Amino acid sequence: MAGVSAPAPVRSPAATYARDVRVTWWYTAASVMFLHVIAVFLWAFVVVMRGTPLDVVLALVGTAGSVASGVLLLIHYRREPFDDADDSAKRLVWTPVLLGIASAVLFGVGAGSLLVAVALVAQALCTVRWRGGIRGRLVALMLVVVVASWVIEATRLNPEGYVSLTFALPLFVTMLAPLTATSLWWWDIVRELDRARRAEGRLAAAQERLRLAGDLHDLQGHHLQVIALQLELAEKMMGRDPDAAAEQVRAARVSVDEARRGTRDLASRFRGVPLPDELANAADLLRAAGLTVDLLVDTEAGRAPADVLGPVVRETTTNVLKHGGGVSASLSLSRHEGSWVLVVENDLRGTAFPVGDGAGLSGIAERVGPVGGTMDATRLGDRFRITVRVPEEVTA
Amino acid sequence: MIRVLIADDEDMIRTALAALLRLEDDLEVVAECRDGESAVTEAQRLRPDVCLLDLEMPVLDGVDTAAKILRSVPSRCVIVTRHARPGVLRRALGAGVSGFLPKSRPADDVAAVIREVAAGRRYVDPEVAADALSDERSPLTDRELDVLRAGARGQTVAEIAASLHLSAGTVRNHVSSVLGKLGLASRQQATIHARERGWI
Repeated sequence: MAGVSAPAPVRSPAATYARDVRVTWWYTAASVMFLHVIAVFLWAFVVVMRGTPLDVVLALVGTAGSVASGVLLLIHYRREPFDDADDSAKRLVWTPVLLGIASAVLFGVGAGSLLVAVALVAQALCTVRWRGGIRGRLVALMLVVVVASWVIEATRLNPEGYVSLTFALPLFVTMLAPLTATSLWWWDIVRELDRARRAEGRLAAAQERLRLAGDLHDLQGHHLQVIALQLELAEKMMGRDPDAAAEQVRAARVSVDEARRGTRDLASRFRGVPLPDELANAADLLRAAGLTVDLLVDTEAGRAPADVLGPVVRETTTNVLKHGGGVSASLSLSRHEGSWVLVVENDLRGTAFPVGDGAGLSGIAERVGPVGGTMDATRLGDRFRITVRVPEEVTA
Repeated sequence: MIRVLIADDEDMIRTALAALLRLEDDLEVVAECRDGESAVTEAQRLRPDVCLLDLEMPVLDGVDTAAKILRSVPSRCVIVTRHARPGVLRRALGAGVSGFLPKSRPADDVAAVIREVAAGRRYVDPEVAADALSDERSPLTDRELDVLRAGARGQTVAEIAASLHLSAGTVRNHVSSVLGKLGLASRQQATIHARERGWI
């Protein structure tokens, strides 16, 4: 087998989007957790350095609890359904929130800091998906409360405490809740957009279905009415004029055939594959029929006029299959001197029929003629070859 | 005289077609069967020249029936179908079926095809062939298709691995690659997707 035949495996756009959305989530969750861990560890570090053993234990338990509650809340956030009406998930969320609050209190006691306790409570509350409108207000309120407790702690409660050590310590925990809330808000937007994209796809498909159903109804309705009339006429004429009745029955059969063809055309409107795929399918079929097949397809073949060459591929393949008997065939589509050249060749092996019978060949010639193409059928010993040339400017 | 067996689970169509074929002087309808199993039994008993098999039959479909008949009896098989899913033609040709035509063809044409096939020629209806050629190409590799096929009846990853002589990890890699290419979430969905398109 020569040439390019198997199309490169392609990832569907839907799959790519789904992957991008997943990546966005992991990025969001990772940045939230990174900030959380840094803020808590900074505090735990200074407590370990300077606190009593009891303080250290409280702070470490608080650290573990706070980080665990953060992870659990993020997992819950990811899984929670978008639908506000679905309350089943809401109940579960309070366990990690309570864990977060309890850890915050322990940590606050261990570190002797109101600020860190309040900031970690705010963090737990801001990692919950609140209903529309609540989150914005809650975040603003939390920011005010956290900044206020920073100010109170620095000026009144514990002016010589950890808060006074370095500016980074209080700043990190203060920014934790608002940054988490904005990251998650951003993630919600991504998810909402993804959902809108899917809904749009479904809507387009539904509209197409409706249109198709309408077309199908019109087509079938019309033909069935005609057939009913023809049969009614035949029934009435049966006794009086059998010949005329038979004529009507024949007409009804023609109508049935028209209806069938119309339905088929309607269905095939949605099919149409690129020419390289059509040629690859042809090679598959011929191989399945036991022939050895050579397939050679130009890499640019996707641009060849499928509406002109597609029927030629079908006609020739059908003929090779129909008359059978051969052991090998070759299909090639290439570009030569500004033309697309399709060559289908097979051996005859005693069958009297060439690759295209008379009607088929003239059908091909009729198809390629109007676009300035040519068709040529030759016989070389026991091989039969059909060559179709179509100018490159003809676009599908 | 060409001896013909007809198998179709739709009684109306089978009896009408048999009646119409009996009107032809050179055709003799020797058996009418309602399903693939009885078609195989009857074919082995009567050894008809041509078996006309409906594709859509319960349990054993037309192609499987043809494959069984062709293994045991020197008959020729023609598949008749209402709606040829593209992959079916490939399967049918692979099984050695001699003819393939849509049910919409008038009985005259069916009789003509039976004569063609009885004379040793092959007949593939242009409509069926056109359908098969305008088929969407499978983006999956042969190995990935093997994995889907081996798991088509709900086998576990371990069972698929055993039947294909692969490691479970390799099977899992193939499955995730299939799901990635098709943009689907589960192996079941992928199997249905592939079967609907006639890839497996």
